[in-house]
Amino acid sequence: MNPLLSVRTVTRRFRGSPRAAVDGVSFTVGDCEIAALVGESGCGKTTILRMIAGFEVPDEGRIVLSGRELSGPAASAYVPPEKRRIGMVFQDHTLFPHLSVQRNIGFGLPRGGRNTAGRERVAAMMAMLGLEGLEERYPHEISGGQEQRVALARSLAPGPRLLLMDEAFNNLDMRLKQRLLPQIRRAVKASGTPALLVTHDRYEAFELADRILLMREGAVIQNGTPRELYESPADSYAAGFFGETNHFALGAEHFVVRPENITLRDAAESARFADGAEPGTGAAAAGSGPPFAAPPFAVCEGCLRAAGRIQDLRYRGDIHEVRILLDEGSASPSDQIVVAHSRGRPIHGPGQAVQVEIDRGALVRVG
Amino acid sequence: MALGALFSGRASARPGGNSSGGLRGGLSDCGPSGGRAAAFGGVFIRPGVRGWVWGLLACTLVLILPLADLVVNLFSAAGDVWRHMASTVLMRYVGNTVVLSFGVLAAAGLFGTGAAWVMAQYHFPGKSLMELLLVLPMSVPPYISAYAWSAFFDYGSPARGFLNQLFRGRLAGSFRITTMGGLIIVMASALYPYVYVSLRHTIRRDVTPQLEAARILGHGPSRRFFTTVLPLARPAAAAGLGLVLMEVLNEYGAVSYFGIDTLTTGIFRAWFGFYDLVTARRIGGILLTFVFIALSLESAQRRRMRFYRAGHSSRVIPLKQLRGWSRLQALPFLLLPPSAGLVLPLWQLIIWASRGWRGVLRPDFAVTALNSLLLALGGTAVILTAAVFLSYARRIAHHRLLDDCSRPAFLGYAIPGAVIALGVMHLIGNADRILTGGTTLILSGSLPALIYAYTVRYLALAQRPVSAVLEERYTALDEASRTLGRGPLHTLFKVHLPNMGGVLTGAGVIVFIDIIRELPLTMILRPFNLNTLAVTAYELAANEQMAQSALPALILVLLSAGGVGVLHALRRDRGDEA
Repeated sequence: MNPLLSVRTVTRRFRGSPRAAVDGVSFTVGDCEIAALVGESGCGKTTILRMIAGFEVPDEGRIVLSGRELSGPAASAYVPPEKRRIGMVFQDHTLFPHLSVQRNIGFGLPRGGRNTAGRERVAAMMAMLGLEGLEERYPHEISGGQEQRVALARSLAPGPRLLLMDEAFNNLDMRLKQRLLPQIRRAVKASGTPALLVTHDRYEAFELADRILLMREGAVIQNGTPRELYESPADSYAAGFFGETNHFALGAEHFVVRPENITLRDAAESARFADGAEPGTGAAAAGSGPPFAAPPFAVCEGCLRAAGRIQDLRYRGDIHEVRILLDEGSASPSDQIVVAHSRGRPIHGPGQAVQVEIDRGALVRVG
Repeated sequence: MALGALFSGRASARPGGNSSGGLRGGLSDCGPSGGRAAAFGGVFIRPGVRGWVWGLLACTLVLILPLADLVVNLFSAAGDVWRHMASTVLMRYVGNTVVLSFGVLAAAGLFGTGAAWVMAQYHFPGKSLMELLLVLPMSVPPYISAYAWSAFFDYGSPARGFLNQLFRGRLAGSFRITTMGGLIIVMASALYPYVYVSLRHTIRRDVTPQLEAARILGHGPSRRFFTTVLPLARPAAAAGLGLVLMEVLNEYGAVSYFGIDTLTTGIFRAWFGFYDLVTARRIGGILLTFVFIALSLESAQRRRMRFYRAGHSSRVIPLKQLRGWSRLQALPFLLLPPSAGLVLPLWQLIIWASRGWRGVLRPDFAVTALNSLLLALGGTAVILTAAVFLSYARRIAHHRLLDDCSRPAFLGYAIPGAVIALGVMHLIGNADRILTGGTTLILSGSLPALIYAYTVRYLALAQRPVSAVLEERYTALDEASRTLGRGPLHTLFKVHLPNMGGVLTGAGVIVFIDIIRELPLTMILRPFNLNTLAVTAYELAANEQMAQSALPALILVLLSAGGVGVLHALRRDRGDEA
């Protein structure tokens, strides 16, 4: 994939702040690709987006779009936002309140989209986003979901070379997001416009992006497909960001495992299948798992196993979230709590003795 | 008159100031770190906005020059007139100014606080009419109120006859209204609405939780007022009193009509009596010192107000019916201030106007009215344009240093008109000397000079509401428009201005009314033979031609009342009122 947008060692410092908001960040966005900058509030993701849009100027580094430098070391390299041909969808309240939906979408077109070509373009955008019938409505007369679709149509109408989305779906409720996001992704893909979105919501990133860049304290710490970021996190922060995680130190190495990859068995039932392995003494089996087990875990066929008691049980609707306090191993005491998800299994409640089983393949070695 | 200062919201209802609050304050923190290639005279400015920055700096310089001139003049060599005045009358001017200021502050504070407490606590028949009546005295300029009062209690007047009867001639013979006490009452009755409007909102909404707590702890109404309302509402009261003080220091007409010499009348004496601009500007400098003390006290109180308002509630106190003993207590606060500030002067003006209107309605009166109208309209247009330009340039330049540099340009509303007039006069005189070598006067005594002075004085009134929109709101709209390929100017005309109709109307009404009633500045700077309604009303009254002066005065009062009514309605629409 050809890089369309290239951000090269970009740095931005704000007065009064000891560390750089964005610290030597480099990445590219390819043609027709949707990339997402993801991270907690204040990690610098919005600053990057605003530098690409031209609302902030980098202190160091370059931003190049389709071979044209937008910001660089020379002041003369700076291109103002209105000359960059970059579309942007903002968080909220950005439709022009005095213009109808139709005029809002046509705003960036020649003559405000009021000539024949403009009217056709506006109609095509409205059809693409399912906004037919709202032409003459004003922003205060449409719903939040419609408002964001109009904002997207308005950004796409002038045919930008790149689309930026800044926490654009923050204010929508979960149900609406579930309905709206696939539609947004289809529309952006259909327009053929590469996009870069900023969000702190992993659900949004998974739903929309082909590639995710995870940021922390002004730097990109992992860059990969959604599956890579979820299943092979670069470090424990990355693992924790995309979902609840159990951390295990086995020997000198650290592993993480997602709660849904932990199997719970009734202690009495699993005792019948016990292979007699002693905790912490089993040899490593072949596979991607840890080389050896460590207390309180024992090695069994293709898995690690430990005994524990349910400490807490939380009902989540589709699952039970179970917190298990592991029993002391033979070698060392354990105060480790494991979180598992139980789906339809007979779980009795706090105090119940259980066996915790982790498939070797589910363990991911981190930093 | 800084009538609009109250309605434009900064001093009374919006703590935090106009350029540092809310979103703008947050953005300012994102100032650049410097050291970038695109440095601009040592200050980083985002490329592409330099034209706006130059414009902002130039406008700011033009607006603060007259004020800077007065401050510099305080330290220049003084002449004989100054030495004479300093050794004879100056201390009396200062003393009178101080006594008048404190007297009016106390009386206006009492009227305003009492009325606000009653209106915020009680319900009674005709309350909405009462609300308007309590605000309307704002529309009577103190100088008009002053000569109406003076005539009302004059020898031979029905009021004096009544007093004679009442005291069987013992008191009434020596009774004079044109004393310091009378002036304090007259000015307080015209100015108390500044305190009333500031406080009413605070008492009605902001202190609700504390009032409820006091009530559940067993405090009755009057105890609640003294233990809870007064301490909590003090910052809001101070904001209103700050405006009252600025009005007192600005006042020339009422003060000179009552024959009380203050620093403002001293300026006129030095200029019109001795034609000594240096002395006049020196007195202006002393007056300016008073203003800066008042301003710093007010801003200190505003900082406290932010603290006090931290936990304010949007809940309003449930109203009680006004009956029984509380009705007797409340009546003086409801009836006296509007009677003194509105009914009495209006009644007197109507009587005079009914006698003398035929003598006034001549072609030259039409010219005067037209002058006033055109001057006020022209001034309003210039001021609105300047306010929009400066606010937008500050937003575009988006730099804290530039914000700080341009802030003094908005100080004018606090500076007495006579003081600004002196600064402008000196500046314009110098400009004339440079342009013509001192042979002719191009700018001195010209309409542009007068409008320039109005702009220095009243820009802040328009800039406050305009900047609330242009600097603090709609930042995202601005960015949306820029990413759609539209530049700053296109964005201003196609996105912001179409959304600012209400704000510009409100600001325009405020500025228009203030200009049309303006007296001291206009008297000093007006072109030769140019009369306005305010100047005509004052001069005729000063010549004891009351019946003739009433018609222009009445027109001014009615215009102002219309404006106050419009602003009152706009405020209610915004939901500011309970």
